[in-house]
Amino acid sequence: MIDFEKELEKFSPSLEINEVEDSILNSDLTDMSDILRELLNEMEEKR
Amino acid sequence: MNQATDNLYDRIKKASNWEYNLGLTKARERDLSNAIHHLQKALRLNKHNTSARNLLGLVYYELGEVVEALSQWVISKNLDGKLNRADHFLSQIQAKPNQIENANQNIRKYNQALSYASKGSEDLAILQMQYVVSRNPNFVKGHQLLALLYLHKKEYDKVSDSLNKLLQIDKKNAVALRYQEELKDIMQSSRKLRRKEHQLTSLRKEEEIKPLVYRENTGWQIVVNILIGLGLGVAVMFFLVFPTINQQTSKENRKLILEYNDKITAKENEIEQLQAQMGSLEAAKVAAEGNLEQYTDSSSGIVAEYNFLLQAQTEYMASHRLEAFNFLAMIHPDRINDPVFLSVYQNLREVAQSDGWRYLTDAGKQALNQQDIEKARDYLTKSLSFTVHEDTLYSLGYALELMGDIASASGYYQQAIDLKPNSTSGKKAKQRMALLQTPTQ
Repeated sequence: MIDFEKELEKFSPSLEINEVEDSILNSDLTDMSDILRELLNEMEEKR
Repeated sequence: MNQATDNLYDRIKKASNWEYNLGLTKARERDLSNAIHHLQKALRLNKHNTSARNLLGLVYYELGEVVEALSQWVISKNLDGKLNRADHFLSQIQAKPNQIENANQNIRKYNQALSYASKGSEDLAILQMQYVVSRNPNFVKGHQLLALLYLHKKEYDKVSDSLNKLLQIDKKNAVALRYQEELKDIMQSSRKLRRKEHQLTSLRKEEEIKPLVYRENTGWQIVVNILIGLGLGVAVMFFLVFPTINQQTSKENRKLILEYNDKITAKENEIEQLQAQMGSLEAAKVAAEGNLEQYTDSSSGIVAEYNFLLQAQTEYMASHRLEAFNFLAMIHPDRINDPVFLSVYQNLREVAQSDGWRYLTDAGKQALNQQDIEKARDYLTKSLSFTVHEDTLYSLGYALELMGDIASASGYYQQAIDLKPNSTSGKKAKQRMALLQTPTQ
């Protein structure tokens, strides 16, 4: 049985067009390559 | 080590491409939710996977998520500026500014609908969402919300419509599938319930007891029935309806009476206040009139004083001494503050005090001889107001004696005696006093 209130909470407001800039700035663009690079740098520093 | 690292990078890129391919396949199958899932994974492995990012933007755009789509294409262009397909997508959107504005409006209405729904105004939310999905039929989130609202309002046919539209855009949308399941369960339960009710109804029909034979009333019985009905109706009107109407009317009348009472009281208060004002205005008027009279009374007002002075001065200038001093004696200098007036008055008074009084005394004596006692008294009193002379005192005493005012006459005689006992007037005064004191036989 679907609980209307709980289901409603899962819906979040959508961003407006003028919020595109904020959305881009807040995007986390870290990928696996970045993590790997970081790990390698740490290893290098420890040496 | 470098080679190992390079191998690692290569493997990461391959994994990213593999996820991209999966995402592409899903997108082609219209399984957009899962396409997003794989494309995001591709980008977490390699953010420079431009194809994955551009496709992700496209998928978002197809789902009506314009802001997400724009974000991905802008990021794509920034990470990889060379011959990027994102340019094409962005310029397509920029070429239609109305499209962006419409998209923005839809987003706002969606957010507003969400707000209405969370506050319990589901009907308003539904109206908003109907508008939004009509203008943006691909807006999956909008269809989801609308379906949920219809489900809550038990408008099951509309739920079905929304979900069907949604699933045409995104075939395996998890939320839509869940709602569909819910709807199926509800419909099934409803069918079972209807079947049971149907069975019960059938059973009842079989067990139905046949009613007694019913015969129509005829003739006078119909008339009697009608009369009874009318009587009942009248009774109901009389005992139920009219009292209620009367009560209502009385209530309204009472309310009106109270309102009018309040108005009357307010008016009465106003009248009282106005009357009080009138009273004080009357008093002020009387006082003002009194003041005015003080100034304008011809016999005793200030104007009269100026008049007397003017006449005294005029008569004096015309050498009519008696008339001048007569007028002068009528002046009340304490009523006047005007220094010019007082100066003129004082000058004339000094003259009257020195020898002007004689004119008045002589006029008084002459009046006595002529038996005009009133005139004599007047002149002699005025003369005394300037100078007290035994001659004037004696003459006035004599005038009063002739008028019958013995006490006053004695008083003046005594004054004359006290002033100059050996003068002619003093001696005359003594004689008169002696005569007055002699008892009459």
